[in-house]
This record gives sequence, structure tokens and C-alpha cells, in this order.
Amino acid sequence: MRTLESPIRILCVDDNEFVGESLKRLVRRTEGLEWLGWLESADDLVPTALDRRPGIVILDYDMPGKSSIEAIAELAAAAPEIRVIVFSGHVRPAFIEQSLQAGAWGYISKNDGTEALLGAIGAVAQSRVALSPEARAAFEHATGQN
Amino acid sequence: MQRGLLAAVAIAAVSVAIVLGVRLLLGNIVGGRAPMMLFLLAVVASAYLAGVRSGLTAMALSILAGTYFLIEPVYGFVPLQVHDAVRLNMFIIVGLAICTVVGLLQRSYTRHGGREEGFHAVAASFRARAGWLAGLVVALAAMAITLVARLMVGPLLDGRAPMILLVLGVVVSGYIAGAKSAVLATLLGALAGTYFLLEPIYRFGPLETADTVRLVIFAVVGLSISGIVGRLQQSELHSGRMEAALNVSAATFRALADTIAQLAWMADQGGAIFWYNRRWLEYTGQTFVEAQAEGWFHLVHPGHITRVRESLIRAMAAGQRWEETFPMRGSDGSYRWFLFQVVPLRHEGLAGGVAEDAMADVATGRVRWIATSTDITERVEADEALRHAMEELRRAEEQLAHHNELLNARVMETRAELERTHQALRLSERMASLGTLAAGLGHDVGNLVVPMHIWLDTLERELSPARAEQGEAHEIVGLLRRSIEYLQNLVSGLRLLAMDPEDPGAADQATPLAPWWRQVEPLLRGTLPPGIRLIAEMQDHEVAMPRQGLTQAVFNLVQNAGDALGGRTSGAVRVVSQADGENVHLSVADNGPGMDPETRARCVEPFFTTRRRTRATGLGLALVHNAVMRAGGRMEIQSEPGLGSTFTLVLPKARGGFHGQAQNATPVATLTVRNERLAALITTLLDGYKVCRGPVPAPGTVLWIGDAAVSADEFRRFVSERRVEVAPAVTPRAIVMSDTPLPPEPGIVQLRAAPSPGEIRDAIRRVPAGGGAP
Repeated sequence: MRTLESPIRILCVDDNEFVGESLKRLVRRTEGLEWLGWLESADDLVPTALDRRPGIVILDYDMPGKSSIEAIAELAAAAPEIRVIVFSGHVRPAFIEQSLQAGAWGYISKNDGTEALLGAIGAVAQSRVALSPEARAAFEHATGQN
Repeated sequence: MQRGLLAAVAIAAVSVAIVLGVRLLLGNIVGGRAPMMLFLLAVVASAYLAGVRSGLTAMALSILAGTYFLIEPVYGFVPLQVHDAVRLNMFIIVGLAICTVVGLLQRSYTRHGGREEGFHAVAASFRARAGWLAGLVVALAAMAITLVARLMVGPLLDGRAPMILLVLGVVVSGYIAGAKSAVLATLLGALAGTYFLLEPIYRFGPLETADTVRLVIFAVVGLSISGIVGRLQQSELHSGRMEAALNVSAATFRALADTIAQLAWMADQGGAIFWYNRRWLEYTGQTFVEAQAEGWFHLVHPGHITRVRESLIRAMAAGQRWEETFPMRGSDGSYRWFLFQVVPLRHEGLAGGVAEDAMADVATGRVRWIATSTDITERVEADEALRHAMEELRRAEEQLAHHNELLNARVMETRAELERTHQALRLSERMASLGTLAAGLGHDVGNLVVPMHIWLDTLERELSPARAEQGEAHEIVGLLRRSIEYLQNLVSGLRLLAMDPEDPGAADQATPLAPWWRQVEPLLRGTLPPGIRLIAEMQDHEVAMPRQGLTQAVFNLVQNAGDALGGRTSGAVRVVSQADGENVHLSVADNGPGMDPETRARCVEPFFTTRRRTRATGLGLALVHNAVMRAGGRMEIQSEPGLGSTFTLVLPKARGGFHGQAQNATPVATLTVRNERLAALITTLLDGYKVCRGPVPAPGTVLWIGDAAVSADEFRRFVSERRVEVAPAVTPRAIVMSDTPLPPEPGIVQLRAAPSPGEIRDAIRRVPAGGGAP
């Protein structure tokens, strides 16, 4: 099983500057993680990622501009070794399904807090798919119609 | 016949007797030689009155009587002399001529109309066309001939030529040229006779008395013959016209009867049909002979034949008009409806309908029957169609009335339903707005909570745990964290409250009570009026009810309890969960005023409320009741006035699924999946399993998930052989991800080679962890 090299290089995409700013602090003070930067939208994700070569991209689900699903699929096609974790305030089975189907390695609810996010980063780095508790509950309890 | 002959003889005898009497009276005047000519009166009268036979009889009687008196004029017998024989012969000739002429005319009359052939036809034709002058010429010719004959016979009769021969001329001219000609002949005969009477041997002399009598007798006989012949000829002419008219009538009738649209026949008194019109024969396809032989009853529809036959026989026996309607078969074998009318026909015309008259006519045998049948098939069909249409109309009207009633009832129901729906819609609109608000709020709060936590972490790291003066700062960070958590829970609760409780996607979701309560408690607490406490004793049970439905149900109950406690300074709402075997009892109790029995009985009815409409929809408890029923549970209500109310939701415990694994040991699943990310995703979804990866199932494996690298036989062997290896109650299962179709096999689920996360999740769900029942 292939794991990511340490430190794990993190790129963040979120339209909320508080989130971007706070994640920078979180990553910088966490051992084994390296902050590459923060994008306000997914429009330039693929060229930026190809340029900076992050190990993991933390991606908001709901942003202006290019849809996150489209960005995940494009990135998975362009650089499958770069793994995307969706970090969202929306916890709906359909969003989780679409994200995983597009190629995301994790779906973390913002309600589940930073511990869940850090745990997910570690799990994905070890080639596991990560779902935060709220996301897991929503997805596992849904039916095929979602 | 016998009677006719007798009458003829009797009339002849009477005539001759009368003439004999007159002759005897005149005998002395004419010098003892009574004129034989007078007998001609008896002959002509008898022939006229009683026919030729009577005339001949009168002639024979006259000969006997005349001969006797000829033989002995003074009533004595003497042998016949030559002139007497001549006179006798002349009498016979004249008598026969009279009988012949009268007979011809009478026969012509009885045969209706001057259609005799030969000389009689020529004479009749001549008479019809000849004028007065022609009659004179004929009379002259006839008298001239008879005069010459008389002059020739004269010497044989002692110079006294008999006048009787001239009567022959009268008869002949009358027959040929009519009565007027006969009268002229009589006048001419009288002149010629007189001349020769005056001078029998062609001399002129004064008339003797006997001669005058003879002259008068001649005139009487001549005029009688003229009258009778004329009368007969007029009768003949009249009857001829009648016959002609009758022929025209008959022809007209036949043409008419053949042209009319009706079928027709005529029958005699006994009902025997002797004539059919052309339409009848065309319709029935019978020839006249066949119709005569077969009749027509067999053409009547079998369903009507008895009735028709019996009623017609009855009507004919009574001589009454008959009318019936029935189907009759035509030449093509199909039946058509006819209006049949049979009416008695009498000499004076159609019967008037008076029963006595009809009976009399039948009794006297003067009735014939004429039948007409009018094709009324179209009318009958139209009547039938009309009747059918009327019936349809009536039924339609009934149905319409019925539908109207239903519709009215339906309208009333719908109106009530509409009112309810309208209320529910207003509520659901409010809930939808709330949902949108809650979703947006949740997103924004999430975006704030994460940074705040991170900042608090940073701040806490900056604070040295060892420094006592920083104790309050640590405490403040802790308070901030709890505040943030509270805010998070409030938003989560709000979102749960706004979610669609009937979301089919959530139908089989379960809710663990303890975490759920942490989420919704801030929201519930916020709904209570100030001073009212919310006390919770929540065990860690999991109920088979979606979180949003449970949230909304409990929210309504807590809100109602808060309302019941409104205005009190020391009220409490207690939410408690307890489990008993299959169910979890989640109760919401208040120490408010409680409900009277009527309110308690009606409180779950939709739109029932004890509060003002502006504050309450009356739907709250109804929604709770419905949500609990949908989850397979029930709601129990305990309430007494003054003792508060307790609403208990009895909810089934959650079972199976991802959280219902066998308690004994963690089941083992083996993945044989080459795609790394897919394997990672499946591993994450296999919550509750010990997941191994490898080309063959690890020991103790109850679920093997593999891609196309594993053959179908291997999977089949796995599900059939592993049963022995694993625990007795566990059936091994396999999930195969391959685009090559596999035959259905118990225990094996097939997915596409690249299944979606949802498909994987659903497939795992179908093979319960810990194995299913064998």
C-alpha cells in the first residue's frame, strides 16, 4: 500500500477566508504537515496543484466558480496521486456520493471539528478513505436513491 | 232451372190466353176470321218477359189456338185450306223472327255488352252509328221486300194478302236500325197494307170495318215490337257501356294494386285467396301458383304465427276488419315488419264497420276480403332505436344524478380537504423557509466554528498550563469552546427540525438517542418560556426512527408542554427514555394543568387546538402521531386535570444494519480488489468488519469482496464450502464486481466492475455483517 511522503503537503481551497486562515495555522503547527497555500475557488486548482504538487487537497464543497465535483474529477484524471478531502458544512448523502464517485478520498463535516480533519488527513495519507462521523452517519443511513 | 221453365210456360200461356180472348172478341168484327197476327203480341210479350223459350212456347200455343179457330172460325172443325196453311207458315216465320231478334238482344244484354260477333255485331255497330235517315232506308227496304213477298203470296190467299208478313219487315228493320226504324216500318206497312186492303186485287176501295180492325191490330203489334226491340237495344247498349266501364275499372284497379307500395291480396268469403298483387309475389318470391298452393302463414315469423293465425280466423269468422303487426319472411330469407290490414269488401263498397251489417253480409255470403300489408320495418326499427335511446337516456340521467350526488359529496370532501391542505401547506411553507434558513445558517456557522476552534487551540497553546495567573484564561477558552459547541448544536437542531420528515431517503434511518439529544437540547431549551426547566434522562438507546422525524415529534411535545406551563414561574418539562425488550419509551411530561377527558380524546385530531389560531395550527400532535406511526411506533397519552400531561412515544429499537453486528466476535471480510482507491473506500464502508486483503479469503472470512480477478467458480466454492468452516449460524457471502454476468447464486451479489459508492454501500447492507440466517 502506497503512503504519502512526510511531511504531507497540504493545499486548501475554500471561499471563506476565516477557514483558509485558520487552516493555515492548524497545518503549520501540526507536525508532519506542510502548508502550500490557500485558493479562494476551484477555478485554478488543477494548474496550481500540478505546479505545487500537494499530497492532499482540502476542498470546500460549496463555492462560487467551478464546482467542486468537476474539480475533483479533473484533478483525479490529471494527477491521481493527489488526494482530495472534501471539507464541508453540508452533510448530505448525495454530496458525499458524488464526491466519492468523482474521486475524493474523504468527506469531512465541518461540524465534526478539526480533530476529525486531522484524523482524515492521516488516514488518507495511509491510503484509507475517510468519512467524519456525521458524514458517515448520513451516507450509511441513506438509500440508493440519494 | 225448373222454376225458370215453368215461369216461361206460364207467362206464355197467360199471354196467349189474353190474346185469344181479345181475338174472340174481335172475331165477329173481322168477319169471323179472327186475325192470327194478334198472337204475335203474345209471342213478343212472352219472349220479352220470360225469354226466348217463353216466346217459342207462346208461338206453339198460338198455333194451336189459331189453327183451331182457323179450322173452324165459327168454332167448328174443318180441314185446313191452302191459304190457311200459308198464313200459318207466315205466322211461324214472323214468330221465329221475333223470338230470334228478342233472344239475340237479350243474350247480348246478359253477356254484357254488344260484343257479339257476326251479323249481330254488324247490326249493333250499324245501330250505334246510323242516323234517322238510315233507319228510314232500312224500314223502306224491309217493307218493300215484305210487300213484294206479300203480293207474291196474295193469289194463294184469295187475293187477300196477309198483313202479318209486313210484321216481319217491322221486326227486321227494328233489329237492324233500331226502334225508330221499326216505327217507320210500321207506318209504311200500314200504308201499304191499307192500299192493298182497300183493293186486295190492286184496287182502291173504301175500308171495311174488318180491314180497319186488322189495320189497328197491325199498328198495335208493330208498335209493340218497336217498343220491345227498342227497349232491349237500349238495355244492351247500357249494359255494354257498363261492361266497358267495368273493364276499365278492373284494369285501373289492377294497375293501381300492382303499383302501390303495399303487398295485397284478395280472398273470397271462405278466405281462399284468388289474387295477389305483383309486390306480394316479388317480396315473397312466390309464383301465383305457389302462393295459391302454399298460402302465406308459413312466411310469418315463428314467434308470431300462432297469434296471427288465430286472430285472423276469429276476425274473418266475425266479418270484422283485422289489423296486426308482425315480421314476414321475404324471398331473401330475411324478415321485415309489416302492418297487415284485412278488410271485408261488399258490393256496395267497403264495410262501414257496423257489426250487425257485417254479420248480415256474412250471412248472405256477399263478403270478399282485401288485404294490404305495409312494410313498417324502418318505422319499427326507428321506434326500437328511439325506445333504446330513451332507455339509454334514462339510464344516463340516473347515472348523472348519481354522479352529481357523488360529485357534490366529493366537492364537500374536497373543500374540507383543501382547507386542511391549505393549513398544512402554510405550515410546510414555513418549515421549508425554516429549512432553507437553517441550511444556510448551518453552513455559515460551520465555517465560523472551525476557525474559532483552531484559534482557540492556538490561543491555548500560547497559554502556559503551568502559570497560575493564566488559570482564568484557560477557563475562558473552555467556556468559549462550550459556547461554540452549544451554537453548533443549536444550528444542527434547527436543521433537523426543518428537514422533511417524510423524506423517503431517511425512512430506514435509526437514531442513537444520546448524541441526538446533545444536538437538539439547545433548540428545545430555547422553545420553553423563561423559568421553565428542561430535565432530561436520556439512555444510550437507538430507535428505528429518522433523526429529523424524532426531532420534530419531540420538539412539538416540548413546545406544547411549554405552552401548557405558560405563565408559571416554576414549571418543568421532563424528557425520559426507557427501554423494554423491543421498544424504547421516550416520554415528555409536564406538571401543567393537564387535560380534561374530551380534550385528551381529541387532541391528536388535525386542526384541533385549545390555543388561539394565530398561535397554533392544531396540527402539532397530529404530525407527531403520524411520524410515530410511520416509524412503526405509537403514542400514549396520560393526562388528568391538575396533574399534568405525559406523552410517551413507544418506538421500536433499531436493529441490524451497520451497528447490529454479532456481539461475540468481529466478523472478517476479505477484499480481493486491485483498484487501490476502491479497496480503500470499501474498507471504510465495511464498518464493524475486520478487513483483510489478499487473493484468497482469510481464515474466518464471512464476506469476500472481489473483482474480475477472482473466477466465478472460486466465489461459488467459497459460499458453499465456507459454511462448514465458520460458525454454524453464519452463511458466507460474496460481492463480485465484474461486468461479466454471473448466473444467480444464493449468497452472491454482483455489482458493476466500477460500482458507485452508493451501490457498494447497498450491496454490503444486503449481506449483513456477522452473516445472515442460512
